[in-house]
Amino acid sequence: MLDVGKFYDLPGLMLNDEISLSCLAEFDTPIDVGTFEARTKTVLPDTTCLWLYTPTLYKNDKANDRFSGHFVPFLIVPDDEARAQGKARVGWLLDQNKTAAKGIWLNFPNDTDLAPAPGDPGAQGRFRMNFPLRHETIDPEFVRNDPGTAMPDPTLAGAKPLAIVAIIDLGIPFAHSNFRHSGGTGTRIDYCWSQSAPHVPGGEVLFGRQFSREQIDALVSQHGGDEDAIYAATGMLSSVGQPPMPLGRMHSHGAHVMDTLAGNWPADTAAKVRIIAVDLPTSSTWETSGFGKDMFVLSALHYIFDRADRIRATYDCADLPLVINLSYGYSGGPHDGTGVIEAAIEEMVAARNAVVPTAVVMPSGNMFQDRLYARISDAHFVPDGPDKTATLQWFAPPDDRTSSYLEMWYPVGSVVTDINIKITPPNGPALPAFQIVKDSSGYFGANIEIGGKIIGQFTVDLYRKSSPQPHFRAMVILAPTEPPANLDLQTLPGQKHGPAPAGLWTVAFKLPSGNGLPGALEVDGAAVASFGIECRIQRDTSFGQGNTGAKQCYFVDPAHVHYDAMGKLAGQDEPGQATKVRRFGSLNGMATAGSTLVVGGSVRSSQEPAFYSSAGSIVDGGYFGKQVDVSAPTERSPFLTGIVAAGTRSGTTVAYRGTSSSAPLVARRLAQSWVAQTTTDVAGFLDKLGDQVTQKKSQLGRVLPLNG
Amino acid sequence: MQHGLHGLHGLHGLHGLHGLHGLHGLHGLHGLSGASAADPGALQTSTQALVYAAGLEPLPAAGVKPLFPQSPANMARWAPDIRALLLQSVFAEKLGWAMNPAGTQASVTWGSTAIWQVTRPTPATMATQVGLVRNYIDQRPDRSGEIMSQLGPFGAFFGIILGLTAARNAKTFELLGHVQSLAGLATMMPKHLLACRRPDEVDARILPLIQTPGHGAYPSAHAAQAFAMAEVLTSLIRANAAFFPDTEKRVDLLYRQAHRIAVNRTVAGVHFPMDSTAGARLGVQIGRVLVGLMTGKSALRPAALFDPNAAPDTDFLYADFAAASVDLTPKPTAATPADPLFGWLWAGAMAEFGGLSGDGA
Repeated sequence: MLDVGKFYDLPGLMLNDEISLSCLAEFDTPIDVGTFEARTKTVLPDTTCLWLYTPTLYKNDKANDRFSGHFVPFLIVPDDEARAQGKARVGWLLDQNKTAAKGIWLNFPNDTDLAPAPGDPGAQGRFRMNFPLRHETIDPEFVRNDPGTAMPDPTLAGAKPLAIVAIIDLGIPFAHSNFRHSGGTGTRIDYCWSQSAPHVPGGEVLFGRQFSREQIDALVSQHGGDEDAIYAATGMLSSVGQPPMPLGRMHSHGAHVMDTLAGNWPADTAAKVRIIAVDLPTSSTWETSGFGKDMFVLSALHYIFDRADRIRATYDCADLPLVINLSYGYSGGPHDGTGVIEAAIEEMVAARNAVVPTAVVMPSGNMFQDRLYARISDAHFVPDGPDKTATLQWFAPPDDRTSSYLEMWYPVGSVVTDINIKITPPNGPALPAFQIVKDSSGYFGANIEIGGKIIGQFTVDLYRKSSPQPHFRAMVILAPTEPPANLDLQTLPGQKHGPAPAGLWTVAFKLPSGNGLPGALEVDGAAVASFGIECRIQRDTSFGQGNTGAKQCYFVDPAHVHYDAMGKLAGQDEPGQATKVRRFGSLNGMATAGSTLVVGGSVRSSQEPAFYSSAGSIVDGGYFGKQVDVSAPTERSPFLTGIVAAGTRSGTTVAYRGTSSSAPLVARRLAQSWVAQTTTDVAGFLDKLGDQVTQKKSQLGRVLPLNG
Repeated sequence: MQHGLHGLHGLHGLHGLHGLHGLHGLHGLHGLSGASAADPGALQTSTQALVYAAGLEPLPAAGVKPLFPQSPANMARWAPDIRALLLQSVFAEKLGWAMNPAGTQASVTWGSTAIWQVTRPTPATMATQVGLVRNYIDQRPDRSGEIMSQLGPFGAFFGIILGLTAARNAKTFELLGHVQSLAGLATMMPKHLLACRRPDEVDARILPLIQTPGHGAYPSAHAAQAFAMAEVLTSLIRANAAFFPDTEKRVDLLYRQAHRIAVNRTVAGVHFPMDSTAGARLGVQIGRVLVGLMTGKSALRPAALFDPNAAPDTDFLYADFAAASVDLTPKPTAATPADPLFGWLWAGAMAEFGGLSGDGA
């Protein structure tokens, strides 16, 4: 029974009583959204009281062709009768549908299958549950599956724009004066979708609330510019019994990033650039529970594309390029652009790029020194009886109140029989090897048990089996090493479980002695031996206001030299093949799709890489896969840390560290180059910064000039 | 062979330790001890100016009215550190200890009841346990503030859970100080008998955050003190059930705080997790003894043996302790008689949880 992990969900997130779930569906062939409900609803447990809602979806009106992709974001919403019956709980939904529960269970990869396409039984679909949403943020008036019909077109204001900048972030201060026209003629934000705001009547967005330019100006005027009062009146501040809201604090990630992206433009430029912002729910940073934020991010992208087209139509622009900054990231994922959210973003950007220049900018990540990435290659195997074995150790910290995930990505071309993994807990002994037997849906999952207690799970799946190059992924998922405070292990039903023992865990990979690792790849255009098994520990830190009690696991490799002879953090990987833990290859797992502009971080005073700035893989001295495209400062100097930008209230500033700050600076310069019409697309912008090939022998890629 | 501490004789030595030893929790009491000190010279010159006016008449032959002898009310007259000595005297009178001839097991007794029994860890167990200590090293930056604050009296960490404030809760804070002091006292003889080395002596890679204290590792006095304090405060707020709307939530937080204080010592690198387990088991029992002395309502409960060698890789987790404490206390046996001096202390703390509308008249 793989049903115990759900008890570890949502530690302290105050969402356990909400059943409205965000979900992301994927279909083998692009889907006509009109058929979506028919293909999805059949798998839900109680079709009389649960409704499916899709948010605003991109229509691509300039191409005169409704966009149809492989991915559809949607919500499962209970009706009032279900809520009155006490069914409005995540736990109830899980209990009703064990299959669906697997999707939510500790990130278990077994998605829920959907009905095949009419007339094409081979074209399957599946969906996966993401975070729950609070009921009061959902708009019951939103027209289901015919989104945005109630939405008025924007009114004309000022000159014809030349570019749109968009931001998807957390804690967007839409009333901040840095986003107003300097002449006092109102906000420069055309649309802000605050996904966790309580809904208001109007049917403009499925959940949360849209603040249009007119509404922002009216709020500022009505409250005499008192930003506290504006946010209080619109439900953007924290209140008792609800998850904390980022605008309740003096600084937020979204305020800092948005100021770097779009704050205080020169008056002549400001008139030509429109701003669209999407404020994700606070829960989007609570990765550690195993839920995903994919649905929120993809809904945000659809919204931005839709509103950008409305602006373009209203101003009758022939061409209105769009740059979107997404300063998010994590360490897991396949890192070849085939991750779920990567593929979903990529197909939308490609569709829009075909008609209008469209760019997505993301940070490279801050995990260069975090020991979250290790690569097992042929050199690491040693003889082991008739076989050979390579081992990898990872440290699970004590007092970790959230689950921990180790992903092991097998090279493309591997088959399921290549996967032979043995796990040894701290203080041993080794657990019996798992006999990998695929269930009917193609997945394998087994509990990890110690002393009669379930302390985790081992899974194997063919990740996104419909992707162009599916990988086998094995995962070790550990229960928290300290049980969450609201969990009484003694009283749970079923077999005893958790906590997982803290300490040094060992994973052993076994191969028949004559075999090399499966799979092959090209590096810099030349074929090389197998790349190896890429092992990644998923990000697991307590960020912002979640207070999840998360603590980060990391790999332990005696051959890895963390500090150099001078006592500094070593900035390069060790030469040779002995080391498993790698700095290069630690790139943001959301940012490896082909068209994404990846931005690293540097120290402004020295132009050296920031010590944490993640980078792409190096194999045998060559560069493999996605690399950092360009870098910009994220530190002022070795002594003055971080970059200063706006807090949540007008007039406040704060220094933030990390590549979240350099991505929006690059996005800003890109938009400026479009407004100045020095370049007309992303490639032109990058060309002006020089050739990546000659500069990429560092974490930096191309270097953004300090004065652009 | 079992020893009892009789009379005051052996206890005066502790008095001299106060300046050196934050462990016993008395530092926090010094600030309560009274009037600002004036320069003796100044007092003398003022005396010479005034004393003539008191005249030369003899005192009445009947003398002055005496205090009540043996009265617990006199506790209010004694300085807090003297009250501490008196309470220690009472407490020590029935506290005993023993060790088997092989030196492998030790116990603590109260009267004739063995309230705590442990096996001495083997070198192999210590070698395993030191690995658990190293697991916590990463958390030193997170917890160093707490670790430094908890070098001395740490009643404030429980005070924040009960909304205690110095102006209103002087007696509750004093009670906490005494409990911390007495529980610390009760661990010193077991530490001496069991004589276990600290983690930094076992493994050069520990390099503790603070100096290793000058006594043995096993059991942890911080764990014993913190759990004794949680136990006594639990009885105090349950006896005033109308005071908080959410008493049981606070009870849970009190024990979680005790757990965190104990684990902080492992993070610092001065205690093995098994030290905390043994100390917490002792602390809970000491807390019950003290509640019995104060109220007469607690009960002595014999303890099961704790053997760290049975599962040497066991960490000190809150959930495990909560489960183990059930075994520790099967059911009440004989009631402990109340002691008048402890009763005085309890009454003072109890009075601080009244005053609600509807109380009394």
